[in-house]
Amino acid sequence: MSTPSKQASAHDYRIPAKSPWAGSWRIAAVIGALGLGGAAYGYTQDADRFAFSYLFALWLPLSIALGALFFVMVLHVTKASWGVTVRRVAEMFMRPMPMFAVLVIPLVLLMPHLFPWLGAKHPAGPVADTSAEHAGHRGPAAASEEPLAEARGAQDKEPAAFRDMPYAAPKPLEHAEAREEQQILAHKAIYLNKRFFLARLIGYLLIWAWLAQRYFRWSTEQDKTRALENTSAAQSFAPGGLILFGLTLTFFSFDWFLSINPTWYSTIFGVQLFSQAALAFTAILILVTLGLRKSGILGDAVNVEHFHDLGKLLFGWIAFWSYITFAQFFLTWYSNIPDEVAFFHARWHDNGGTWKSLSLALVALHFFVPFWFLMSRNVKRRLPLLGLGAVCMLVMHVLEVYWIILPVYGPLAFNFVDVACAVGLVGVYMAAVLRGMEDYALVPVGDPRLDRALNFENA
Amino acid sequence: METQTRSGRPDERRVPTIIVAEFDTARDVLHAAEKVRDAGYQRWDTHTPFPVHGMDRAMGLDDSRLGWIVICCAVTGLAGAVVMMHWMNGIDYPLIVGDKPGGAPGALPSMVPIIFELTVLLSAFGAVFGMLGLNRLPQHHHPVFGSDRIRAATDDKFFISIEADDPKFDVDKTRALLEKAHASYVEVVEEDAS
Amino acid sequence: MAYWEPIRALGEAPLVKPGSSLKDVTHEIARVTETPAPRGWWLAFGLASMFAGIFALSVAYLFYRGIGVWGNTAPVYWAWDITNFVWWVGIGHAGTLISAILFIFRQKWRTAINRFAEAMTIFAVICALIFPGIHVGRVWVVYYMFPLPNQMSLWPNFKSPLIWDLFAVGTYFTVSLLFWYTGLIPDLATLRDRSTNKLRQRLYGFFALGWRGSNRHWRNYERAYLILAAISTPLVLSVHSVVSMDFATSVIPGWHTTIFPPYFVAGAVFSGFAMVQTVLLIARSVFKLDRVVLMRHLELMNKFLLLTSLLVGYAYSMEFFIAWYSGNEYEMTHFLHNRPQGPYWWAWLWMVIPNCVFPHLYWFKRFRTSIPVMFVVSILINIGMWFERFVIIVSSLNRDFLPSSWGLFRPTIIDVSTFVGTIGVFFTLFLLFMRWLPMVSMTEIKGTMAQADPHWHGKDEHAKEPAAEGGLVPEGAE
Repeated sequence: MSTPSKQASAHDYRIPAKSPWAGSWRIAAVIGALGLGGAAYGYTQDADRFAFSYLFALWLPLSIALGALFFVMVLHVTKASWGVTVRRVAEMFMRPMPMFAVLVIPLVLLMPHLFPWLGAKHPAGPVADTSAEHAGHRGPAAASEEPLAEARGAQDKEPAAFRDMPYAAPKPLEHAEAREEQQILAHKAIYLNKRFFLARLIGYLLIWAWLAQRYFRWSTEQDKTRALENTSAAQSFAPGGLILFGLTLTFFSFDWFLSINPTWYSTIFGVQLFSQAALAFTAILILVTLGLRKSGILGDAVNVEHFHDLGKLLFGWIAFWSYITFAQFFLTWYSNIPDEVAFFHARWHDNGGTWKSLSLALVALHFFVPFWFLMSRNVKRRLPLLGLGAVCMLVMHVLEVYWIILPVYGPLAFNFVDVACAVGLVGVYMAAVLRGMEDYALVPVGDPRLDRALNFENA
Repeated sequence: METQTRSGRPDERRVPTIIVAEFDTARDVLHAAEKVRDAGYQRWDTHTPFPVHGMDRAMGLDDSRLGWIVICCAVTGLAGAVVMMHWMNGIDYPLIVGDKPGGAPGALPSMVPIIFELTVLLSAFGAVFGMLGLNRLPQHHHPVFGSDRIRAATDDKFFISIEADDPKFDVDKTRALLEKAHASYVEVVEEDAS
Repeated sequence: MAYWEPIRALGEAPLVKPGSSLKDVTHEIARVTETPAPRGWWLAFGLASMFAGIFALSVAYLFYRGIGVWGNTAPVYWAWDITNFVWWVGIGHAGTLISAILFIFRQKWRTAINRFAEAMTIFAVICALIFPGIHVGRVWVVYYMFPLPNQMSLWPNFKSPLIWDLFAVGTYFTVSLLFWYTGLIPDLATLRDRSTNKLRQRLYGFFALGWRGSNRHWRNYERAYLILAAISTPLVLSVHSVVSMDFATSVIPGWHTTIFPPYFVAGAVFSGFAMVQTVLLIARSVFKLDRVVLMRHLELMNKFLLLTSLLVGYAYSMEFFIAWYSGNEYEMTHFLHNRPQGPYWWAWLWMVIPNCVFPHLYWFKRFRTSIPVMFVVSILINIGMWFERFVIIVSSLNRDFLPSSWGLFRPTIIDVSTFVGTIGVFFTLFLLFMRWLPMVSMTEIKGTMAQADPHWHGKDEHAKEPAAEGGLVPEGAE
């Protein structure tokens, strides 16, 4: 060896007592408690709204915890060495998985407010208001409905009366649609009924908590024992774990996010929620690791090479998210089948068009701007810029979850209960994460691939 | 260590064009390159069977500028695709299919596939032809090919070549520098002065 | 133990046969193009070019008589032609996946198979492009597909998925060719420098563009390769996504489902990996490449097949589940009744069993490392994936919304000969490639060896500790 390789043993990677990180969990806990208090007040004001806000807020920390679980298992299944240095931070984020069993209780109690198959009727359910669209979209725009004629300059030669043949206004079909909706809900009852739904929920939570605990224990035990067996066990379990993860996440997304719309369906929806979770987690991993590094806790264990890789990962997930989301939008938009397209109508001209701006913002700031911004190698290696990209993705993640859930409730109107629920649940979750960080080394010091990770360089 | 000039005998009508030094390992050539860099040479190069990690730094080279060429091509492809489709289906012969207008912005979603493909196509052209352009390839004639040993640069040996038109070039000094850098073989390639 | 050595307890292993030198690698790979072809090559080439001849005759007959010589008829207007097209494009994708995606993920084991896979991409895409080209009926006006100015001021309809397809597959072919050629340049220079006769030197030299291994060139070259890999990755995704949109933008049950783009991509990669494996196993035994293409590479490919099989299985299940969940009667009729129980139930089984059942053998190391097992399974997957496209296309069309227009599709002999003929075309091109170009990237293999690491001790110290020869690789497969 001509150049000395970096060794892990020099540093213990623990949060020192004087660091601002020590005890920071208390701040998070207080903020979380305040948020939950506000949410409780919100519940007394409007239980319907609270249920939707809470569902939105719950998915924020849960998506991050699930993203962390996925990340840890993927590092094992691919036997990747570059990511070993950041794996412990990821494990910290997946560790509080069992707490979601408690956090989900309010939603379980409020199920009839959320799910049409339990009787909920939302003011702007996707089936509800296509007549508003006809009035708003088709009506006033009728004069400009013929871009072809217009483009040829025909509108001057041809009086409008000749072009717009008189026809009877379409009969309101609401009753027919409501009847059909009832039929479809009856058809789904075998899957969407309270007992089976709750059984599935318990199943998902148990599986996630079990996977998270298993991986956490394998990794932290190794800090002391340095046993290779832990790594091989984690590796050989990962494929099965990922299959379980994929299936539970898919059906969780169908249960909680698909079934709040009575007739909407999309085969890609599980993949879409997965892409969200992976993306949001990567963003928060970058931010927390940057913070820990700035306080000197990680020493040189996570250097610019690792951030470059994390940046590439973030970029990759942005591309993946865009791909999946675009596939869902595009095929729905192009085919224009009423059952399906209702989802996008609710986020475009229905609901008074209030969601339009957010829909466009998602295209611009969840895809276009960060995609071009993070493409450059220099941006990914300049840590403040990388951090900026990660912040953007986290904000957009929050907005996207909001955009998926709240249009089912009604027009876009920010309500303090949204903020209260989000702050409350994220605060409580972060308190658990930060509390856990104080007890363990923040780099898996016993991992056999750690030396390789420390010496890793991007080609 | 062997050293020789190609012609074998000193001849006044022949002038050196390039000095080629052979090394056995990537490590040797890397350290030798550092020495050549520190000696202040400009017109020199290393020849290796595969890209040697860290060689850019050892040679004191800056980052490749290829990325900028590719970005320009990508933007051209993107803009070109939008303009083409908007003009053909939206302006020149408006085509309304499935209640969807022909031009932007109404038809933008359906333009995405072709926008993407043309962006990628032009980026790929930019990457390959930009790389060839920056490298001044194809170039079938180069003084370094005057050496027979250099053929091993595409097999298992590592080389440093220093061109005679480098301002610091001096046959004896340059040769001495390379020999001191543990070259296993140094050759001065010459050609007719005419 | 140094950090770059493989940790054997965790199943890591070197990627090149231990103890190989750089010269061994050059020799091992270049000799195939320099020595007379083995008898097996001639046999295979004769057979393949015979089928290529059959293909030429079938197409000539098709042009002469028209599309009626195929079995396509109402309501099944798309049948084997598009099935073959999608199948071949899909096979091509593994090539780009191996060369680009695994490159980006720093999967160094790819070096043994990437050249191979890239070549496969190009030949498969050639076979694929033939079908949309000949299925238009009036091939002499095929230029209408391109946005060329004409006196009728007619432009292509850019909202048509078929036009997207033209752009996507055309771009894909061009970029794959550039990628492949860029990777070949240094190796062509190696062949030029090793050649002993003038003709070889001229020919390889011409295509090597005067490459001299210069580091000033490597710098731009590596960047170009990285950029090509980076843009090829989304390109692969986009191409098969666009192919899937040929179907998914419609409102036909069985075609219109939002998971189609990623599902098609996963399926493409799956079938492509199977095809790489089939061809690689043949080449490995004919040209005795087992020093370079190790069992370890084959095993990793099997793991990949298992992964993609699971993804494809996921997509099948989602289609199935959501068809039921949607409560839409057409979706339900199609997915729950017509496919598994309709007239093409046997094709459906051919799709499900090879694609979703056999790959599960690869959970066991014994099967992952058995050459006969992988040969058979890879061929079964190729067949299964062909049937997947057949099921999607033909069984979705044969019973549409109106029972009075239902009908069955029956292939004709020309259908069969055209399809089998393209396999001949594919193998003809492949065999020529194997004979005349380096099948494995010498440059990249060398780059993964210990000799490539500037920290490597060199010959002297190496001689002192011969035991270190076992770990000649800077990093294990990650």
